Amino acid sequence: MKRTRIGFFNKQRQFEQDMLERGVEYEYSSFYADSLKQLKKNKMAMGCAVILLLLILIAIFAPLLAPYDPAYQDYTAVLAEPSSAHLLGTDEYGRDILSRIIYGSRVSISIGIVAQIVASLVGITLGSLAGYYGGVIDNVISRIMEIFQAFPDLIFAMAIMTFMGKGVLNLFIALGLLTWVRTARMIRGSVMQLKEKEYIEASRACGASTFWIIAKGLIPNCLSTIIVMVTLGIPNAIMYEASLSFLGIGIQPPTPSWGNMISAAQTFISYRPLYSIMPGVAIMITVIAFNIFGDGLRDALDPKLKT
Amino acid sequence: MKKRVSAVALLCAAAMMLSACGSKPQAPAETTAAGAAGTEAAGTQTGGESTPGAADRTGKIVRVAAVDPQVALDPQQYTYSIVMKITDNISEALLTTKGDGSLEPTLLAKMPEISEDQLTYSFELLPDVKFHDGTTLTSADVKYSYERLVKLTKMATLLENVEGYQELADGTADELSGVVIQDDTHFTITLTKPYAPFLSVLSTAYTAIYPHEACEAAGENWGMTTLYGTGPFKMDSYQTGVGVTLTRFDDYHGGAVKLDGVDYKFIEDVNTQVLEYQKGNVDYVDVDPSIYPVYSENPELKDQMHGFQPTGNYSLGVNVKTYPDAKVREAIALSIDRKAICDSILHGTATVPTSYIPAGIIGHDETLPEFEYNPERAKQLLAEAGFPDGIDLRVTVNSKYQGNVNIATAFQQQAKAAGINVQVETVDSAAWSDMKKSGGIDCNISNWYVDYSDPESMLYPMTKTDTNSSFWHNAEFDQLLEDGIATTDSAERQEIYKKAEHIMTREDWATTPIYNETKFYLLNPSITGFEIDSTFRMFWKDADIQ
Amino acid sequence: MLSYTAKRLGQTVFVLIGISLITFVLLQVVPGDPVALMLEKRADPETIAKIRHELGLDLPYHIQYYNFLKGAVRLDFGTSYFTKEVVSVALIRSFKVTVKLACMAFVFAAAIGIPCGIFSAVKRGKRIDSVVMVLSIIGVSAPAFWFAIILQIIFGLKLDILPISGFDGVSCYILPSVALGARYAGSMARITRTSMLEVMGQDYIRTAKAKGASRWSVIMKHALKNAMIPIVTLIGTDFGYMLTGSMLIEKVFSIPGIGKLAVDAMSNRDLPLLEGTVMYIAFVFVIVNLIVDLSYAFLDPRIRYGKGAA
Repeated sequence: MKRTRIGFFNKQRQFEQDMLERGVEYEYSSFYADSLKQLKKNKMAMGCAVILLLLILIAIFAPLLAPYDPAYQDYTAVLAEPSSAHLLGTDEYGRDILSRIIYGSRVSISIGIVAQIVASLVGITLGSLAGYYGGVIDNVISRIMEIFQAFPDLIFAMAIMTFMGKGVLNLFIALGLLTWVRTARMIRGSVMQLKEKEYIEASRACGASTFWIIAKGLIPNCLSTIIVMVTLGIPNAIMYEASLSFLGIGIQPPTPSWGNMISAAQTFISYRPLYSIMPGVAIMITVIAFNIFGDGLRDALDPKLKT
Repeated sequence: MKKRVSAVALLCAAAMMLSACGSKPQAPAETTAAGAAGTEAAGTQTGGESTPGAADRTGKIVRVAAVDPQVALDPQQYTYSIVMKITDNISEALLTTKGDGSLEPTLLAKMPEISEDQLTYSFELLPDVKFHDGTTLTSADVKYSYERLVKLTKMATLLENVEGYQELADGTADELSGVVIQDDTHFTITLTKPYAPFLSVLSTAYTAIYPHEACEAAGENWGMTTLYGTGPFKMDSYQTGVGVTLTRFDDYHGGAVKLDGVDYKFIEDVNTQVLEYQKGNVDYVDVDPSIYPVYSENPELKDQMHGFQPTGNYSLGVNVKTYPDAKVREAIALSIDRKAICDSILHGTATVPTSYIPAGIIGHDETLPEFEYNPERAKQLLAEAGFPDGIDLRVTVNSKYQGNVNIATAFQQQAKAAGINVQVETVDSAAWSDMKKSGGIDCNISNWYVDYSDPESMLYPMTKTDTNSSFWHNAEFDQLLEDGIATTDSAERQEIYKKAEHIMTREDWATTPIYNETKFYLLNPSITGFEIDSTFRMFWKDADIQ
Repeated sequence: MLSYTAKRLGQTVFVLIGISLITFVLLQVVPGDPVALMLEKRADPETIAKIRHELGLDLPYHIQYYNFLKGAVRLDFGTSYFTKEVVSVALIRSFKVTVKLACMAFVFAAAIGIPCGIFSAVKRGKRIDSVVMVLSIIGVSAPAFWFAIILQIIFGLKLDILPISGFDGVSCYILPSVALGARYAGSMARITRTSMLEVMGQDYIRTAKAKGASRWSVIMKHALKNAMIPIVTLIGTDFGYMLTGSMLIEKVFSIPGIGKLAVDAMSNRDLPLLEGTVMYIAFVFVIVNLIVDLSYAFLDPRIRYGKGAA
């Protein structure tokens, strides 16, 4: 097989060799069952899985858990200190900080997940096209990927958000556009490797359509890679959201997000330290949990896929 | 092979670090005139590495935290308030407006004489006023500076009533014919029609007088590398991202200046600015009212915080193209709880206005009731206007001004009671200017300060241009404003502007004032003789360090 | 090798042109008019038209872009709309600041990250390993700007031992470089540990141990040397990233580096400045990747680029 270019991380090559050695011969059921068994043995990862589950439950049941409406401004208690009424105090509008952190989990987690779905959709499509067709298409897509990678990310996000207007939906798209390249690169590498396999040749000989070959023959074999990429991509997207909100181009008021809370709280850091510390802690816990769980998942699904 | 490459890589890295560490930011062009100051070292000067560009400056230096203007320090070209805060200490206009709105001559021997018909003003310059480049101020410099203002177009309309303005602006003439030079210290200015605020205009920073030869020679570098004026301080250096250093001008015409210099240190983040103040690395810092309690409750800092009330206000402007029905606009004006904003969001630092024209200038009316919050009445008005289910309102605010974002966020909740569903949209400055111009703003929160103490400066954006984004026009209002500037009697002008304001804020509801603010700053207690009054200008001329 | 390098450089040119074109198009479609912003208070249509003409903004788009490219080839990006500073001068000025920050952050990250990674690998499974790994993951997971603010408060204000802003003198750079370097230290520790563990499981390490070489000499001489490849790859790209400036850290500490220049250019819609900055950042990124790929081939003789490469 002739390869024209090599990614600067060796993971792609490792992965390709790996797939050669073991890849498709595995039965899906036993492969995933094995992986699950291995994942269960990883205590750290399982602990983080529990934390993640809790975080997701908090996000879903925020209206039940939050003591106050996160947008309600109580003018009699502006910048109140922590008390039994407001466990973490209130912000500059008299809004309950705890409630806002609870509701903020909705924004951060959904942004992480949806942005990764967007990134995966774009990444899988372009990556598999590039990998499958090779030649000119691959060349064009590869250059596009390089352009996206080399473009300063926050500037790009600023431009996209200003162009489309601010809002949660547009933030999903902007973050998806920022992070798709990684997925695309991985998928491209895998597809390139897999398309030479006999079973793909066989499908082609049987007259299967290209779409069928990519969708049914190639993508499922990349599934474990995709799962790992998405899990490890979520914390990345959460951090991006926080950074963008900190620069004032993320979530719009009055929707609380951990990023815009840190940004607003920065002014009061020496006056109401908890106000700025807690949203940061929330981000950290979420990101750590996703990272460790993602690492565990990778070890279980793709033992050799390491960054 | 392997080794060689790593060695090369190491060398490269080392070279990079060396070159990087070797390239220190430039030292300021020259140090403070040591002879004048050498004896006493100011107590506030901590020195050391944390004062960029000022490490080797000694004497009484006031260090001011500022945001990098990123443009030439030339108010004729750039109208940011930070530009003026700096240049007001370097260059001077013919007159100065005092805190009470009265004028006093600065570069003039006496107040100008005005002809019977209110059209011709005769000026006499002080003799022997020196510019920082050593040349003497003459009438030619005045004429040059005014012509430059017109040619640079940004603030040209200030002089639109001067004879010959239109010809110069259009390029059909190359001089401002209304300014006539008699001799080096005498000149007259002729207007095309009576214009009451004219002398106030000549006290603004935009009309500062520059030495014509040096200014012409500097070209685009004026305000960047070169800036001369007649002011108490001369500019030593201006480094983007670093700061501006000023040193005392020993030949200042206005008497001895006590400070040896002023350093403006560019600190981008406002929170970092305040932290630097608390560390003692700067002597002056602006404090946003939203963080007032942080300092008012701090026993060490509360006495170092000073307030002043700039002449101007925060207001809510409604685009009459989007909301053509005055009833809807009145409903919007009734659905903002000004009292809650003043008391809670702004911690009692602001007051609810009774009129758009603020206290301290002609046309202000404090006998009127405060603008009220009445969601019930608003609902009723909306129903009358055909919106029984309420309306959606997109409020656009410039993200550069956090204060405006805060008000919009509070308004969002307050308007719910009136059935108005507010959407807050924050955009950056560039998008904001563009939207404003193109009419893309339905409703906005903005602030306005007068350029000169006259109601004209408060109201002109409403009629002459569409820059206030409401696109409101009213023939009667426009006529009243024309009458206002053509009238010189204060009592008459009071009535004219009261009537004009009534049309704008209580009949047409195009723009409604939200609050009059108090601005705060922290000032090192060892600094005396410094005060900011309602003109919102920062003069360090009379300040001293004890 | 040479042909590979030439080919990559050719692709780089393509990427840079693509980036400049995207920047140009973005600034045309993004709402916001630099001229309206410049004029601010008294912007009337005639004045705006006049200034647009002066800046050449009234020319057709393709001519504007062609003019830009013509200059860019000679590294002349024009002058900033706002400061009137020549863009390349502004870039050099900001680069001097950014490179200092990058070097210090890099030294901090490598000095903490690599030893911790080695130590953690050697003490695999021990408590110290878990502690280092948890710390490294915290380093990777804490938002850098938040960490920066906390550092400012603790070391700048409460303990009052370090400057909290400014960029003159080494001490000013300590907090920013720690804030910037923390996450890189974390990822360096992780990659070092992983690749050390991989190498230490290899036969030749066992052989060396069996031959009686001391434990640390095995680790330092044999294991580390061979574990260097992925580490060099990572730290190379990390350094590249640092050289492109950190917008958030520079904002918090008021450091006028490349990141701040880019953000300012974007928010002012200052096309020449933005083009220059974006091109610089992209160039550093592409070149660093190229160098890393090439050095990778040098470090591992099994890898060969070019014709017939498998």
